Amino acid sequence: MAEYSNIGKRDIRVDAVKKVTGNCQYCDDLRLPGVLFGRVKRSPHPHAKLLKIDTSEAEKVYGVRAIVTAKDVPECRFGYGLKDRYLFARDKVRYVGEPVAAVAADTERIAEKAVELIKVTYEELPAVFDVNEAIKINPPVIIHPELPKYSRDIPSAKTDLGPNVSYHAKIRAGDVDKAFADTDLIVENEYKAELMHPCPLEGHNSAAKMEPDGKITVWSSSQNPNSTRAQIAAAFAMPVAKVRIITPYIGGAFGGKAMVQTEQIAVALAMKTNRPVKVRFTRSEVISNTYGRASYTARIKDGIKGGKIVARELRLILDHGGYSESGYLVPGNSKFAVVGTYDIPNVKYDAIGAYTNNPLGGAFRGFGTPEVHWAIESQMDVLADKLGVDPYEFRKKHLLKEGDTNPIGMKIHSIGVEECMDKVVHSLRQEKFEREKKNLKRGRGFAIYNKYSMAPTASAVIIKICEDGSVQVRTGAPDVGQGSETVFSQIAAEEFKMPIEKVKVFFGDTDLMPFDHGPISSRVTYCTGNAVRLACHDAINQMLQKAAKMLQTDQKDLDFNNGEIFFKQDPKKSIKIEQLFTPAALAGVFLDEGGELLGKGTFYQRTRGVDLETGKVVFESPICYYNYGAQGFEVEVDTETGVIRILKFYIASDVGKAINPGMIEAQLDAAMGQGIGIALYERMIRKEGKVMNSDFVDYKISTSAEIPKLDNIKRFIVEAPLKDGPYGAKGTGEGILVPTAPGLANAIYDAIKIRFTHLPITPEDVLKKLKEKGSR
Amino acid sequence: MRKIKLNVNGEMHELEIKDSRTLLEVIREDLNLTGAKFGCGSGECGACTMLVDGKPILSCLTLALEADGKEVTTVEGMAKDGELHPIQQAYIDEFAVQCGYCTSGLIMITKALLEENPNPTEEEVKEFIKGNLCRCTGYVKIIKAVLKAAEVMRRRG
Repeated sequence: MAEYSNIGKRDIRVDAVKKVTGNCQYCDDLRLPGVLFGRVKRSPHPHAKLLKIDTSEAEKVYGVRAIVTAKDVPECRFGYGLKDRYLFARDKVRYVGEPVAAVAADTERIAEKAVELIKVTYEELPAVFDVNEAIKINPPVIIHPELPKYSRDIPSAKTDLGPNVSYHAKIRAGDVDKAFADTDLIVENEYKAELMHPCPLEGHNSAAKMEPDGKITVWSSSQNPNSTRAQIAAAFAMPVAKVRIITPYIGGAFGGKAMVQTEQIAVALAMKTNRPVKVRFTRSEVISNTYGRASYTARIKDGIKGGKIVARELRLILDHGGYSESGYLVPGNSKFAVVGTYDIPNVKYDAIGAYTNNPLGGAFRGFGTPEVHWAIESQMDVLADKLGVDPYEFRKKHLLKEGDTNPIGMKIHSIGVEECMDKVVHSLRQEKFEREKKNLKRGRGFAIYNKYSMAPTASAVIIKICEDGSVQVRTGAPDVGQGSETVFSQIAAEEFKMPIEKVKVFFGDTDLMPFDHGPISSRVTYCTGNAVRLACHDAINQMLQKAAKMLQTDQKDLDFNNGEIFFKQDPKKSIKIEQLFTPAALAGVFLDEGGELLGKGTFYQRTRGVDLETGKVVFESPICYYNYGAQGFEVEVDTETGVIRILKFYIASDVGKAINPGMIEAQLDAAMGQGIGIALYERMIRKEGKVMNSDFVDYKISTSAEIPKLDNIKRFIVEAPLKDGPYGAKGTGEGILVPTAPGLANAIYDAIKIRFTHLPITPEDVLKKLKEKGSR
Repeated sequence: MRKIKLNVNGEMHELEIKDSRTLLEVIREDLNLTGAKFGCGSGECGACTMLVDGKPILSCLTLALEADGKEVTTVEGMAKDGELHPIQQAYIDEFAVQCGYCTSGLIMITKALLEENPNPTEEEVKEFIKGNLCRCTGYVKIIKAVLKAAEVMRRRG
């Protein structure tokens, strides 16, 4: 195995000191001279005609500087794959909370007061909240009658469903009907989950400023600056290059900041006032009005013959609410989850994204993968139970292996799932446990997962070798907290054979940094990491060329280490990087030719994706890689209160190569926070399309009190090297959230022999089911 | 408008403020100390936690004038003479920091805990900090950092 000096080390995070001292700047910390504050007027109705907006009373409020409505912005639809939205509602509103107008004022409080005084007249329309009604051929309500005319960047498969379907994704592998006809057992179940929210601690916020040359600068909390930039340009019918996005540090995102939120509103207000305008959503707006993970229903049917699954039919219906948002692409990407772990010859999959008048559903850590796994990984245990076999052995005989071709024709590579499962299950099972103690019933369970990383995708990086011998990494990928800044530092330090302290990463400015698709789809360690390497190689080559010229030798005679370039044959003959520069009179140093030592690199993973009607691979892999893993639990169910306590938590992830094991562990621990929350508490309670629990008291996310004893948490890092990953590495940012819910449900079943199929699994649900079971 | 005196991280400030302004607003906007964060604005997440006369408070719910004449400690007051506080060092060493948005508040609640109870058990840590939400870490490394800081601080006396 290769020996590395920086890769694989538990280097402390390069941003840690500023974060523990309060010196780390987030978007909300920024204070622009002359700034105004924006607030949004939102629709109280789930579906209504917009008849009149009267802003006259609001305009009279002292300190109000501008009010904008649809009339103030171009009539341009935009969207993430499907252009179905306007910035402000025009003819209709389609969900509770849809922006109708916005106010810029001297303070947030004044803006808030003015918003209340805007009078909007609506004519309420019938609404549809049940997605199964909505997708019918003749639905009660057609939410976007003009959908066939909307422009799409990414096409959908043909659908035989109704006019509220925004996207239909399919897999048709083998012949499921024929296979089902010849089976020993068919098992069919339905799994559901409620709408849930990413809830980053830093809410969505941004500030926009018009520049004298007509350009727009936007400071944003976006995790996807280039996409935000494109969406702003689309909403205002302007060239992308006119928009500059600056992203300081980001206070968590989890997919929730992948799509434009506050930014366009700030721009509209800045344009009208010609002053900088800041828009910061309240916590209630963040939870109610920025998208969560769409609520969904997954119906799964498996056919067994000779103890093996020979056919699997799965149908996932996602309710993305009034607009497709970042949810448009979820059904398509969810396909990869269906075929990433198990070798099943006949697979039929349909994933449907649909409009309702519910709140918006979109990207949230996993993007289609947790949805599919909630069904599949619960079902694997159900099947094993019906067959009377060990769920571990049952999974084992269906696992795809290195070099296999999966049902859609992808060659499987870097698959560490078996090792992950072995580590988790063996360590869980080798410990004793007491099944029952009065009203406390204990059980164990586990689940495994795959998580794709998207393609096509690109990252470009610039490396600068500085006059003091240090190295700069310039990237378009902001750090959302996962630690990419540290990963890029480690990679550059490795390539330059220098300590990490000599590397500085710069991110977050679309005018100054090269392109990056950003921290989405667990992609930056792999994609941007690869681009850092390529750019380092280019910079190192230039450095050696320059040194060879100065030393009057051939480049191939030279090597380098820790800022020194030396003769391979005679390492004592060396020069320092600093000596490549020429002193300027009384003004530092410069490079006597070529301007600067700038290395550049693009990592571009191209693909032609899959055939829309069959899901089959057309040419080249439709994804970058799969991250794999497993989670195992020991739980205790209190049959008197319904409370579920997690006693043991074991987690394994195949990361290809752990660039920083300390940060990988930190990512794995997140399953303890978000994973438990999603499985056991989190749901947005809706009433006629309105979110009833839009604060942290009623939308409960996990706290420190729910974490198992530290000694009962075990993490395993598995490394099945990825051929084209940097040092073999791949990402694990999203995958950790995937198996928590089914793993817990399997453990709960083991404890009380009740199968939960609807997330979250609350104490009320547990008591209800126990009562039903007892009375039967 | 009202005149108040605040001792913030050992520095005296005389300020004229509107009665309705929160301590978080005054500290962030008037004193330009932006370490304490706005997370929810309603005292539910703990990102704005500061110490007033040594006791942890939610500064988004506290009026600035309630702190008149008192000592306020924010995360910026933790490091002394260029040296990090053992709590800060423990958060770094244990990888307890991810996005960092909750970190300032958590460091302050940790300080409050360790002042009150220099040798907390794991359960006591979990209970004391449970009002400070974190969405990244799953709390595991934070709890470890608190226990480690406690140990270092006890050793140093």
